[in-house]
Amino acid sequence: MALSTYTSDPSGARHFVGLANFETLLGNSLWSKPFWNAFGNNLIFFTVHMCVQNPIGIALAGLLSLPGLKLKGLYRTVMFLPTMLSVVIVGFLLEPDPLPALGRCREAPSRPWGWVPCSPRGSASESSALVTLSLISVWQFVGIPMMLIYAALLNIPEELIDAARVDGLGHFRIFLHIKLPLVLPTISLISVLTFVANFNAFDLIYSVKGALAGPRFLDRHSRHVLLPHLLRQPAATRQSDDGRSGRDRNVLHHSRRRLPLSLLVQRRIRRYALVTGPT
Amino acid sequence: MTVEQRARSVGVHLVLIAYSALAVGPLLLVVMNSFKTRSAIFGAPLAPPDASTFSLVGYEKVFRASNILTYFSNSLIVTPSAWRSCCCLARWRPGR
Repeated sequence: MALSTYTSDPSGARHFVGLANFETLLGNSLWSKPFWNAFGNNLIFFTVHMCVQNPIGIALAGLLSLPGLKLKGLYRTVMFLPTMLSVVIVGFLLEPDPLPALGRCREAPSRPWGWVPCSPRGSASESSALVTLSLISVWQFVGIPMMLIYAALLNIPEELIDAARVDGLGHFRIFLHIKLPLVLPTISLISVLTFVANFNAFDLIYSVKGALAGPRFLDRHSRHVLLPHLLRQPAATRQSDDGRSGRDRNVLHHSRRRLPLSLLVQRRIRRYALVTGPT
Repeated sequence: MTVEQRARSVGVHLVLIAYSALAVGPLLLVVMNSFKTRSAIFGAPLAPPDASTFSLVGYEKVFRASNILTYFSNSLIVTPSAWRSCCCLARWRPGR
């Protein structure tokens, strides 16, 4: 945060500029448009996760915690498997083939998961790309809410459930009226974790389309989320730069999980300073 | 077990099996494709390997051209130590 109030000239010296960097980011349309675009895409990404991943996780955990269910351990393991995979593998595995960035739609998709619909003009629909990516991520990470809620469900005292059963409730109503209210704290924890994970969602987009997920598509490409957007900046400035951008990128790599937004601001501003020359 | 209970149990298992298939299907596909030649993987990703497309070239490449065993042993060192320290920290109660 402190660094975001500084700017640097090409010689590397730092000057304090107060909130001018933020002003540039939010006020200058050159910066604010892609920024809000990326921010909105992140919000969509997050919404899809909240609406798809977490309900599926809760439902699966509810089913798994039914008393007397056979093969419980097998189901649990199998459903958790995708979560243990590396994001890179998932990215390559489920890469939707006719990606909008390439502007093509082959006759026979080279991958089985070419579910991105092709428009009549021969290019896949851009608006569906973000949702597809979100669903890939949902497929992978549904195991985490499932496991957390499953653990919380197992912690509910048996007496409560027995009492409910004596009162004549069926499994579903026990789940809805007894268990669900008791695991609400866990659900809110999961919401927080989902939020953090999704606003740091970088690796999947990176592995599906690479660091440059299309600089040419800066304004209209729908797969921009905040972090890929960030990483592209050094690549774009690489030729004109004195090697500093590489180092900045390293800094970014190490700390992006902590302060993505403030780093975003800082990186942007640096780039801006490079483009406009010494101040 | 009454008929209704049995029907319900079958339904639960059907849902769980369906989701398990969704979760594990792509992974099995990867394993299956690892036994095919490169052109066969991209030509017909869903077809099981037959006599003409079966090959172990992928495994050969992995074990010959890269130090996969070193990578794996590195992971084997890092994971238990991180897990161990996590557990210790989680059990640690200051002032007890």
